[in-house]
Amino acid sequence: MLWSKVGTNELHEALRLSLSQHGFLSTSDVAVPFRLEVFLIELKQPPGGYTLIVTSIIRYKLTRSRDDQVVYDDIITASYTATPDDAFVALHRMKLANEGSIRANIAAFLKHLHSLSIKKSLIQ
Amino acid sequence: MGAIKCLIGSIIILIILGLVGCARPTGYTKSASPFFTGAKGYGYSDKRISDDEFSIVVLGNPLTSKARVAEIALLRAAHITKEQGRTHFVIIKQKVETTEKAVPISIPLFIGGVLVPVPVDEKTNREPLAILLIRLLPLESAYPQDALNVADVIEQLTKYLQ
Repeated sequence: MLWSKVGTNELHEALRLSLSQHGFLSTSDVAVPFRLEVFLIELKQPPGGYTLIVTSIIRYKLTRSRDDQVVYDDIITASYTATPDDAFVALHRMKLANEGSIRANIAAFLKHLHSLSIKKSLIQ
Repeated sequence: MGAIKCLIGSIIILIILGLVGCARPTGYTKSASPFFTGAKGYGYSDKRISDDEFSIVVLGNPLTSKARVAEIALLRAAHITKEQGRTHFVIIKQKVETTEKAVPISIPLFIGGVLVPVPVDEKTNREPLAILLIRLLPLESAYPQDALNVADVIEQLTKYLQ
């Protein structure tokens, strides 16, 4: 069965939206203090079944522009479970599980970001 | 009557053999894509992140230990380095975790004269997952202290993992 997939572009867009909603994203291109690099290492999807658990593995690397010092570099894994109660059709269920897993991953990263005490509107 | 008993006996033996055959930890094997094969995705997969950086992800079956998936990842890292014509690499990041997978529980039923597995319930398996990020080092005479020698890693782990 051909499951829906999540690519790097979709991940970047989702992250941009989340950072913007939480006020972390810089609104100007000039002299942004922090640079964020994100890489989708893998999206582990099950071959099928009723309950679908998808695990996303994403690397986040945050660098201070001033001196190129890496202030955060970690791999975050996050899972999401979708059941037939969420969506009866398996393809839709997998799409929900994919999106949920990416959302959970970004949410975990935002938690780390808050703990780093980075001022808002500073990330590109 | 005797033929039915013989058939049931054969089925039971086949099921036992199947279970015994599957009851092994994951070895050093490439993870097959589940999309076309229905495979469970056990084994290693890797990706190039940048010119000299690679990511390796290893998913083990529930019988596999966390240490074993970490070692499979390390062995794959050594093979990638060798394939790229290098002799040493460094580990940038490593992580070993446990993931969950929902597995259907089926019972074999005769439907229209054919034995069909019918799912009746689900269980959740816990499977070890290793993630490794590596950087290949350029060929030179002096390597940093934390550099790993491909030949050493392959020699130490190959026999144990295959």
